[in-house]
Amino acid sequence: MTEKPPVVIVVDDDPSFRNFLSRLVQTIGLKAVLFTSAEEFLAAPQPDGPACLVLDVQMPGLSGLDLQRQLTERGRPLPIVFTTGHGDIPMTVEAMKAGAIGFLSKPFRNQEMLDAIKEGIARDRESRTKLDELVELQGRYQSLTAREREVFALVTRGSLNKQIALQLGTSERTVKAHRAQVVQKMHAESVADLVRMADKLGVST
Amino acid sequence: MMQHDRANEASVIGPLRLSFENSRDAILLLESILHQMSDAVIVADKEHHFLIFNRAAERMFGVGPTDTRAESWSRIYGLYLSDEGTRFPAQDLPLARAIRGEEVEDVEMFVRHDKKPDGVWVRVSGRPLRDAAGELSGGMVVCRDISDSKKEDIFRSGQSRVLEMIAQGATLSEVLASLVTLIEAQSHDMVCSVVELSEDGKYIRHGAAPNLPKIYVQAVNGAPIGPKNGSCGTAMYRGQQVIVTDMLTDPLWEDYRELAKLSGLRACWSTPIFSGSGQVLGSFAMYYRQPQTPTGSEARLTEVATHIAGIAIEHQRAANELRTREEQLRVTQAELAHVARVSTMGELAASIAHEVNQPLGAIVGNADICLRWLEDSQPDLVQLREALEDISSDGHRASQVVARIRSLVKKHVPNKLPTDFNDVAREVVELINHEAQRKQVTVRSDLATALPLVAADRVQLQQVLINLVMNGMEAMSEVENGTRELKLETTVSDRGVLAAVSDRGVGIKGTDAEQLFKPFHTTKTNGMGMGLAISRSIIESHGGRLWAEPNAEGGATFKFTLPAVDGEVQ
Repeated sequence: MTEKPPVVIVVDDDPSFRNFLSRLVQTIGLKAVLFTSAEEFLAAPQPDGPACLVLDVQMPGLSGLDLQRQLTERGRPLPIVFTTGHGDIPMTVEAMKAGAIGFLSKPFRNQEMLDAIKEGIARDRESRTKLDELVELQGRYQSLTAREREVFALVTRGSLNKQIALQLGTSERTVKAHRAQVVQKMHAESVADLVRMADKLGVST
Repeated sequence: MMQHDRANEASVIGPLRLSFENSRDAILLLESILHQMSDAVIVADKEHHFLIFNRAAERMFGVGPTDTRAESWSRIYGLYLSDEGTRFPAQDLPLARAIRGEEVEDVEMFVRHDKKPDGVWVRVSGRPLRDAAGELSGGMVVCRDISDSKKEDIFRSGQSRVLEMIAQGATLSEVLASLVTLIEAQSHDMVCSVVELSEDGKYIRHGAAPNLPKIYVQAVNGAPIGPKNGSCGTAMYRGQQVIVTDMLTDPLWEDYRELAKLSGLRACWSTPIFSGSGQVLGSFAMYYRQPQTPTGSEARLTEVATHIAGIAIEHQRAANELRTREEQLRVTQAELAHVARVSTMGELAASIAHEVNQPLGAIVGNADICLRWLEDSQPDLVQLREALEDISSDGHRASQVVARIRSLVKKHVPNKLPTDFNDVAREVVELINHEAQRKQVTVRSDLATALPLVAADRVQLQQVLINLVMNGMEAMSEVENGTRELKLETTVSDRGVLAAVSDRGVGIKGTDAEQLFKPFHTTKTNGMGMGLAISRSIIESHGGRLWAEPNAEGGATFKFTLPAVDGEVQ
């Protein structure tokens, strides 16, 4: 499947600054989507390709930091580059702790902004890939029967076939058959592979 | 005398009547009594023929009894109404009224004729006369000369007028001129002057002398005082009255003899004017054009003149002192206001930096992009032009922000001009906009559509408004985000403009409201506590009032009024 083109989402209440950022990202061949407020952005459909947010910290209504919090709560934390007319240290710390890519005080060097945007898009692309993998993995996991899931869990905890059979009250041969099914359905190549998958799916413990 | 009852009359006249053998004796006695009286007594019959006209009446009215009708009396005897100019109407003359049967009490008239060119004031009472049958037979009047008390009344009311001028803030020279004129009116041939002693106690300063020769007044003004320096110079030097009966021979005038000759003045009596604490303030002088020795009657005039002149000069000096102090206070207040303004700007610094950096950020960034484009062999000129236009407009935006701030911070000489207060309010909203965002306060302004102009110093009013708005935002820092709302309102009031800044903050207790305006009262950890005190003094210097009220729904409202320029709403 082909990836959707990446976008830079600019949320700033200052029209001339929005124009400038749009112009800037175009110089590296990226497309900017412009919003005048955090509320406007939240109401719009979410981007379907990799994206990076460029956010003004101080805006009327929801501030940049508020928006960052809301996105985290929604479980879709986009990479954010903050801009500010006058940043203070506590504000920067809060933003960086919450996973901001950068915190740039106006005026900044264009290259700094472009680097931050590139990093943001790369990160988002990466997390998108991870997300896609997880979705795929979850699909495979769904295809397992209840018994196979029990076997999957016990295998990834390091139990031997004999122990599993004893615990499930069945024969070692039956366990082997289930185990083969699990490996096949999960597209695993080794037990180590299964353990990693369990870890990603959160079923190992 | 006029109002004794009949029983008494009988008891006095009765025994006398017994002693007269014939009426001629009685008439002679009556005549001699009448001529001895100082009051004028006139009796006339119904036909206006005079029956009695005593000597006092002849002296008072200049002419003896004439055979004329009442219509001519005002003209013949020089009778005027109290305006001293209108002839007394014949039908209202007390004697005419008495003849018609009226009882007349205490009518005042002014009498002036050849023998009394200055006129005399007369108080007249009249009674009708009846014959034995009780029929009207004529009338009589008794006239008393009340000139002395009348003059005294006029003099006293003149003094009151001068004192009133002092109280109402007339200039010293106006007051002294009125005083001198008043004193001069009390006597013939006398000209007066008041001079002041300079504050260093060395020189004569002209005060008032409306009727002295100009050349004389000019020569005296600035002359030194001393032991032999004319009348006034010596009187102020000695702190004692100096009587010079002839300026052409008196040794005190030796150095000023020519001046005296030139001015045509001969006698000059000068009396020092003292302050309440006994310090010499000036001198009051009486001049005559011939040698003159005091008769004693002038003493009272001198006393009145020096007393009132003393009050006037002291009042003037106190007022000067007050003005100097007020000026100093104004300067101090302006300095303090400047400090407060700068410190407010310090508090606003963060949001101002934001406001300037916003356009600067775009400028620097766009310029950088342009530079990159210019490295291309064939740059896109349309794009380049757009970016440069943005740079230019952002540059203007930044400079406007800077100009706004500069006008607030620079040293400022108050200057009141007709101003639309809404303009001031809008500028302030722009200035504090980012600060409000930073503090997450919603600012709502509700400005009246047509405000009357106010005579206002823009910068000072901005300062007041910024102060109130910053306070309001500060007061809401503890309340929950989302309910922080600040309302700025202007309305037309009955005398001008009413402005209100309401917050939903911690509020004030009703009794504490006035405390807020005391200097150095502060609830902030880094506040000077001068903001509201300065704001109030600014509003008061604009003729308005500033006060605080608690809001019913929590928070506080600060309100102030500003009078319209012409005192009325347009």
